[in-house]
Amino acid sequence: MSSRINPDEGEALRRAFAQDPPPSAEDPVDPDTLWEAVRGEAQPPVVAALVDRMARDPALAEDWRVARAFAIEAGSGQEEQRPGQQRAEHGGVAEEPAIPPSKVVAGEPANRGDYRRWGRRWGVVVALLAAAVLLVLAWPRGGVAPYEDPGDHRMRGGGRGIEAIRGEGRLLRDEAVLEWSEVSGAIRYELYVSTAELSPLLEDRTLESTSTLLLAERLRELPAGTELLWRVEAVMPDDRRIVSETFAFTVQ
Amino acid sequence: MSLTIESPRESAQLRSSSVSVESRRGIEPEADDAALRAKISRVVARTCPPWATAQREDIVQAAMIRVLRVRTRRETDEVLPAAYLWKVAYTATIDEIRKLRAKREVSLAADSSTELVDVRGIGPERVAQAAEISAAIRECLAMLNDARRQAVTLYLQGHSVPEIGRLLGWSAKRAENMVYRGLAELRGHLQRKGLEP
Repeated sequence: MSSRINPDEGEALRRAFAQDPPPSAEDPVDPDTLWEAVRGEAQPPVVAALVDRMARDPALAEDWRVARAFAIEAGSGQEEQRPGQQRAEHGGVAEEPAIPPSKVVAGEPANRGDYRRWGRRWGVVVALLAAAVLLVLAWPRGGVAPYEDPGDHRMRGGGRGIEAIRGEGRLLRDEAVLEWSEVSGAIRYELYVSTAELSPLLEDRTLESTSTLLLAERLRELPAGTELLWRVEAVMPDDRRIVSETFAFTVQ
Repeated sequence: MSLTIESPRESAQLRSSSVSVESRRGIEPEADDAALRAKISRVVARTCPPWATAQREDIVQAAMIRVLRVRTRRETDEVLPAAYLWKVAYTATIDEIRKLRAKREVSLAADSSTELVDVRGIGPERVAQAAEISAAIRECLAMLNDARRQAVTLYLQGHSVPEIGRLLGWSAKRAENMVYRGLAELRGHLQRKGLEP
């Protein structure tokens, strides 16, 4: 697929978009939420809500650029930064010109960074196949040792992730119960509920059970059809946290 | 900007570019302090807003302090993942930029005669013109439908088309269509305002 996007005019718009912004009137977005969004760990509706706000909020656009640059350095950003992209960030001078999108064929690597990524992907595929073969061979003779989590400060998803049991789809405002799967060993749970624009609505950091009834008074102010987002963090005895995905429901 | 350094050890580490054997304990092997500082400096230099250029070193310093605090609080020899340290540095950087932004907003509100600051030395006229174009782009973005606005906004933020697709849960083809049509529509709106950036 060859691109119809003219890279030069895109570049001019990017420079103009990143110009000196006026002060923002909105509350700043939680840095963790921003980090997850730029790393591609957030759900698309969460990213979409952030991007919508970014289109009108220059301060968030600045924060997004910072988060993205650090996420790329962290090694698991969405994509390695192409050299020419530095020009888009506050008029910085690029060391090398970017490869125009017109030269990029979808699904094929476009530069050395892409080749490295594709190399890594194939490496991962080979490693997974090898692991699968080993698993099959080892299974009948006493099973396989369970996967030990490396113990990062915050963990997401996976076998130990938190699933939503209730609290997705449509919920009546007078009986909006959020319930999630238990995390073994968790000493408490922290629940965060926000609007789709990511304005905090409810927060409880002292939950000891895996469900809660949202305050109807807070929901009553919202018009029917309002979409709300929520997530849970399980706090472990050693202060590690297991973070759920972001779930969404609509107030009825 | 004043920065508080809590412990003498942190202070010494910040002053010195060399890393002692003790301070390397529990640190990812490849990154000594000087190298990490240099990397953080590069990222901050690339993304620091123009109005905060004068405070760039303070921002780097704040990020380093936060990283060193995290390291020194570790009681074991366990190596901290580089990704975690980068997140710590990011959080500190964002905090500093937001503090500076808040101060700037207060000072702008207090002094209405200083609406735009020419920190880049490009002349007040061009500063005003740039701000006007930026504001116009935002106004025109608001006229696009949701999908086009989201695609174009991410594109203007420097994301590639496949990346936009991944972030928004779209196919690459849809992402390209939205960017292409969105840019064309945005350009049309800007032209009607008499602007061609």
